Amino acid sequence: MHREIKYSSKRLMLTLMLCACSVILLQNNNVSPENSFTVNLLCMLGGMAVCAVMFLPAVILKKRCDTDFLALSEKITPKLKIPLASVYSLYFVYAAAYFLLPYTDMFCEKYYPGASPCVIGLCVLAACVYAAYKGANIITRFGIFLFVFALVTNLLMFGGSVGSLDFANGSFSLETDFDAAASTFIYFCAPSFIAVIYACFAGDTENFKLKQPFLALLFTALKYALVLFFVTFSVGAYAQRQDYQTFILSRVAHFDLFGGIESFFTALATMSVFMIISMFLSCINKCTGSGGVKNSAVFSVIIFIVSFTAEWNNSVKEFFTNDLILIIFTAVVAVLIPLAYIFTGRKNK
Amino acid sequence: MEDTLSKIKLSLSKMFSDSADLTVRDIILKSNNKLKGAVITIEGLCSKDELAQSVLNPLMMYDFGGQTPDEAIETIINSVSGSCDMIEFNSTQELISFLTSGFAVIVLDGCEKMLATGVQGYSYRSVSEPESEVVQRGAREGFTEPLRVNMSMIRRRIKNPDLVFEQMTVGTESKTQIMICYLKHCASPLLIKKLKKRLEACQLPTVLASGYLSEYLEDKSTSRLFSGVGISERPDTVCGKLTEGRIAVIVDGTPAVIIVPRLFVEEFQGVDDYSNRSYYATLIRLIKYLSFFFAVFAPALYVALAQFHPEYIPTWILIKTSESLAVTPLPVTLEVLLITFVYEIMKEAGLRIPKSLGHAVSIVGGLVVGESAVNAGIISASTLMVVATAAICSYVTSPLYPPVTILRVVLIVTAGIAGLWGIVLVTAVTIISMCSKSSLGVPYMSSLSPFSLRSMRDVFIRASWKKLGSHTIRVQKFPETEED
Repeated sequence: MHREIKYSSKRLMLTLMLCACSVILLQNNNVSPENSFTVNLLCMLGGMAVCAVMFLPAVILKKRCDTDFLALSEKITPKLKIPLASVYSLYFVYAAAYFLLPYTDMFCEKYYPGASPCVIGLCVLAACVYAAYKGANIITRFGIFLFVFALVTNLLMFGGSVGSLDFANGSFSLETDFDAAASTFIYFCAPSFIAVIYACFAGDTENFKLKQPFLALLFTALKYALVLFFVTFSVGAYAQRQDYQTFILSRVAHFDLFGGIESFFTALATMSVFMIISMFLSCINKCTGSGGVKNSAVFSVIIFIVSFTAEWNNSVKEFFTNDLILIIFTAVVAVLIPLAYIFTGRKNK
Repeated sequence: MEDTLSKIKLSLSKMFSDSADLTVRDIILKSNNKLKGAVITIEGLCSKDELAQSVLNPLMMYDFGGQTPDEAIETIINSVSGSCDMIEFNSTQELISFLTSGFAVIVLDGCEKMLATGVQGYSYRSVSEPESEVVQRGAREGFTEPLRVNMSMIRRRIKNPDLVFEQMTVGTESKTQIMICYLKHCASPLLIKKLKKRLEACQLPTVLASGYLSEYLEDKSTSRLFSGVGISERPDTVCGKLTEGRIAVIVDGTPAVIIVPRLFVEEFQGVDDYSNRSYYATLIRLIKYLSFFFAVFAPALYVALAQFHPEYIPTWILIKTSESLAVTPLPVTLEVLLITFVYEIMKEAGLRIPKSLGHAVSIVGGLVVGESAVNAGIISASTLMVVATAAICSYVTSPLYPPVTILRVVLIVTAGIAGLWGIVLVTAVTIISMCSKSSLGVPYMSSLSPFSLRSMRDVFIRASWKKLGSHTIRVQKFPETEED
């Protein structure tokens, strides 16, 4: 494994921001078309607020003790290392499947019909094992390149959609269907998984500033808002009739004769999913205290088995792509467990 | 004590197995006690004129009176010999080392001390412009084979007492001399220590070129696709790198000087960039980056688009491409691979072929293999054009030629199997691999990732000398450089 040295907190935040932004790339009817753009935007802002709350325990630990939750737990309760590692590993396996399943689905359904989701998943996981073996620092360095690519892709996607803007496609009204709004709100809480990654690696970073996580969430919100805006007003009803609306946005975007932005989009989605799963595997390595390739390989096999099973069994798929389960699980590992440690630590003082 | 001369002569003839080039010139010095001695050399390594003028003639002419052999040695050093290099020693190991380095060794009977005098004079290639690093504006001087000549070329450019040359010997059999060269106030002591440790760990029997040492200088457990060790034949390039805190290793017998640490962005920087106007240098640099991307990705993208996504090709190009692809018997992936391999074969042949035949071979390569194959419908013109352009582009950054070629082939195969998606995945893994690489502890992708805004003035752009000269960035100051 690559030797871990302290790296820039700003770079970790940039990587986490890219991870969070990629959630909307894979959206498949998660944002309710029954609600207006304004309601969806409000739901998104609510979701981002929840994400900010999820960040708090990790940020408190970083700010006060310059450490991360994993290091703290190992210090306070060394005997609980294995149970804690199991819970966190379980979470990361779940979260990895949560991203891998929609990605393989979108790829095989929209971009390259006929491809086998299992083969695609296996190839991505194999690449992720290599990246996880190199460590989180190296993945964040990769994040810089991905950031540049994401910038270009987004410029092409949004720039190419400007010509098709039509405000008659959507509305700004505040009338809402509560159930639809609730489901959209829960979906927009999904990016809070980045708080868990941050809780794992905060201790390895330097030059932390309080504004960094909030800026990351702000830019994520901006990206979401732009996607929502263009999906609603540029593609409109056409997108609502189809799955994977953000993909549709990239497909219809064009500059005169130049089209094919969905290839850029798919490349961005592929690299984002690759980065997210690599980060999850790195987190597992950190939780289990093992940096070798063996550990990542074992867990990627588990993720693959989960994805493979989900391809054949719809209820398994529903379980692993459920936004609510992800949020509850995230709340437990990002807020409840760390808070318990913080309060226990205070009482002991 | 009396038999020291015959003992040394005997041991030398044993060690050199009576080699024909070992020359022993017996002499009797002008003195009251008829001091016997010998001047030992290896033929071809020292200048006979120099030997006669500064060693033999003065020795024969000088009257040593009643001096003992030990006193005579001191007299030779102080009053007799006109040679600049006079080194006193007494071990056999040193004797061999001096003889094989072109020194003449004076041995006096009855004295354990010996004297090495610098009379080196062997034939070597004169200083000329290196063919691999030709510049438009700049010195026409390149390193040559002898170590001392190369050292002098650096010293002439950096007239600073901080410039240090440290000698080491590598190769258990060849005993090749190498010089570690750095500027004391610029280079990090930690990097120097690390470098020496790695050179000491090199247990090769023979070291005949810089390339032998390169692998030993690479950081462990990092990707080997790209090289973390730079090579240059230009003294001005080496001097420029030394001022940035880098360390050079000069290997005796080769004009290629090793420079460490080596970063990815350096592959796009050339001596001419710093001689030209900054705006023009910036343009050239951007062209270099584009050429690199074209050399790596163009054939693979062509395969992916032609095979999996023809809808992305503009219609007017698609019609022409499809027409030419339709008449060729091979699938596009195989066609691209075939032309790539044929090109590599032609390149290898071209490098080794006698110059007089080179012209004929290039005609055969260009006309027969190229045009005839297209006319016969074996390969398509568009494929040939893409591969040829990529091949030309790969020479824009010639030090990157090996990794570019490997990556190109891997990407062509991947594109043939998995289209654009395959290219994306391989690119992601390659970037991870490059980001994980370090050169002597300095991240290989420094300036880009880890990002350093200050260094960007000499990455994609070449800022004016006023800006560049205001603050030199030392290589050890790059973020995340390993401290130990």
